[in-house]
Amino acid sequence: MAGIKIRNLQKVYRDGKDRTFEAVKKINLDIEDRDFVVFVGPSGCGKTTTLRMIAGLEDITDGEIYIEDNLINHVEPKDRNIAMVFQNYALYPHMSVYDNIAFGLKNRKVDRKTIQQKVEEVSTVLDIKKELHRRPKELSGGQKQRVAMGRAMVREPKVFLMDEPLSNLDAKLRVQMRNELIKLHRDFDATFIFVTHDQVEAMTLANKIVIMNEGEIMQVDSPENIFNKPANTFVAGFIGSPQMNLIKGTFNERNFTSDAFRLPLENLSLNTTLKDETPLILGIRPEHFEVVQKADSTTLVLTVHITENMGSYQNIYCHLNDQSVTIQTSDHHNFAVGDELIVKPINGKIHLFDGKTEKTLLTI
Amino acid sequence: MKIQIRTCHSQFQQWISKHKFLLFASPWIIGFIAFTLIPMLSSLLISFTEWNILTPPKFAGLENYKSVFADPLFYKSLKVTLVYTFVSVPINVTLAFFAALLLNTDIKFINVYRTIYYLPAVVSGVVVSLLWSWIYNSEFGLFNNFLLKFGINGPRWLSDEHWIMPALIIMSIWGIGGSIIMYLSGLQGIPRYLYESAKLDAANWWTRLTKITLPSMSPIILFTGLTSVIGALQTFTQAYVMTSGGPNNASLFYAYYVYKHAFVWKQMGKACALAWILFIVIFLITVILLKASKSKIYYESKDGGDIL
Repeated sequence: MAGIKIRNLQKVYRDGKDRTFEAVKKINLDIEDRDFVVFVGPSGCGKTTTLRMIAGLEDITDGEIYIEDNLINHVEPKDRNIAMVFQNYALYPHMSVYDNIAFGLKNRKVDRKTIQQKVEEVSTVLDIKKELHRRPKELSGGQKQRVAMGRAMVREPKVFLMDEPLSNLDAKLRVQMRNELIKLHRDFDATFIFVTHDQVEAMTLANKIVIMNEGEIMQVDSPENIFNKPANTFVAGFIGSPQMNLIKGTFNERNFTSDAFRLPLENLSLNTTLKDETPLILGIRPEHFEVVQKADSTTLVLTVHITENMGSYQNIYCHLNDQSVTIQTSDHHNFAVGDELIVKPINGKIHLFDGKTEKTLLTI
Repeated sequence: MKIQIRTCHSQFQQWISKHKFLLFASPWIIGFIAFTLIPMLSSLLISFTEWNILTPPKFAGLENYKSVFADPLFYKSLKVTLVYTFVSVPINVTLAFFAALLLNTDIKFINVYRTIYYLPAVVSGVVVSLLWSWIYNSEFGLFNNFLLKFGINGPRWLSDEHWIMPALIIMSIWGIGGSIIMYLSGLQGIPRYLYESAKLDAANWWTRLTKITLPSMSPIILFTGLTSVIGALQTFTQAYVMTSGGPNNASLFYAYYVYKHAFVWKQMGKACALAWILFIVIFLITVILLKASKSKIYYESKDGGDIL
């Protein structure tokens, strides 16, 4: 079974002088066989570096990677039973599509007939049979993407590594390829590891999302849990659009209190007991507010700044004192800049984080 | 009357504004006409005359060309030049390519090595020729002294008619620095992900070289090959400085033979005829090389293959 274990994996870049940069900070991760894992995070978070270390294209500074319980730190990329799809496809420009797909098999001394058969199989699945004799430069972006997929698939690897493979496609094609990837994963007996900075790709493709930031793993969980039970403010802010509102305050007499409002925290199951004056961060997604008519101590009185009509719903960007708060509502209101808007968090939909560690205080 | 002048004037202004690009191109245009086009056309005219520079030229029809084709030394010099070209250029192209591969690594002080390899290329041809005259000196020369260390009695490189050509070909390796620079820039232009992808595709060093590096470099190899061939066919300095075409005309390079006619024997007409024949030879060889290589050269842009 092609499970992958990552233990204390570290990557440090040195620039010849004495400066170093730790791109991946001693991460641990377990990937099950046939998982569709998506590494997601902002640029420079170490997701691609981790992927490239699994592929063998980047030296491992410290730690271990196991594929199927075999330590592969010093195994050649070609012997790791993996295939990779690169962001810019990395098709060999002077070879035909057929030769591109067949290249890996030829180098592995597979006989001609088998190669031909396998290339035909793959090209039928990917619908690029008519393109086999053409050169990459004659293909459209979507076709190049398919050829790159075909080149990976034809080798029947145990692990597929994909480094932002959809980012060069236009929006419509991206949705289409996303669906095809899901289908491929269903039909293929392999583990998929996919790197992206796009949270929509992560949410739609993965059965396990790995969120990374500054070389560290912030949370590993299913898309549902990542969205509903973010482990820290980074995950809370990264997943979801518009971003979750994070409002600073303190714990006071079983209430979250900020200078603008107070919110009773009685119904929340906390993973620790809080003392008074503990700094807190309250997280509320924009869609988890209800608009009310009358202000009281538990409501937020906002000043409308910008409204965005998205068709089926509306985003309202507001100010709360010096903080900005975003509201999403499906009822259409006509607000002008400067209007007052009174809202109340929906019961049971709020998140609470420690103000210092930024970790969740809710039981997960 | 006034109106007419004005329209005339504005027409002229229009013409100027439409063609002012010519002004920007004029330094090249003037240079090309004065230093290339006019000399070329006059040499063509001169090749049909008999002219010793001192007295006015006399029309001679095809006499000069007849004289060239009846001259055994014409064939000899053509042969010497062609042999030199088609032995030295492939050697140099290959060596420069592998030197560039070696210099395209990420080791310490790589810039120092790159500079060292390129340095010889900045030394003037005359100096290089004088230097090598000493290196090849059969008694005190570095080369034979070096061979003596291995118990080999080196030949008299520059005065033996059989050894002069190998000597000049070895010497030509001195000049590969220019090609190395071209190859280096080409190598650095090959995207790294192609090699990474090839590694995952189980391509070994040789496969990566032949299936990725060489095809990606093919236009540059063709270019340096072509310019080297053209340059080698015009070899002059070595013959002029080192050998005076000797011994026994074994280093009688074509361009040197042209020079002898023009400025030693004052046969300007025949010299121009010889020059035009060389021009046609170079042109034909270039066309043949371009045609022959067409299917083997990979161009990134679609129309790149259609030089001819």
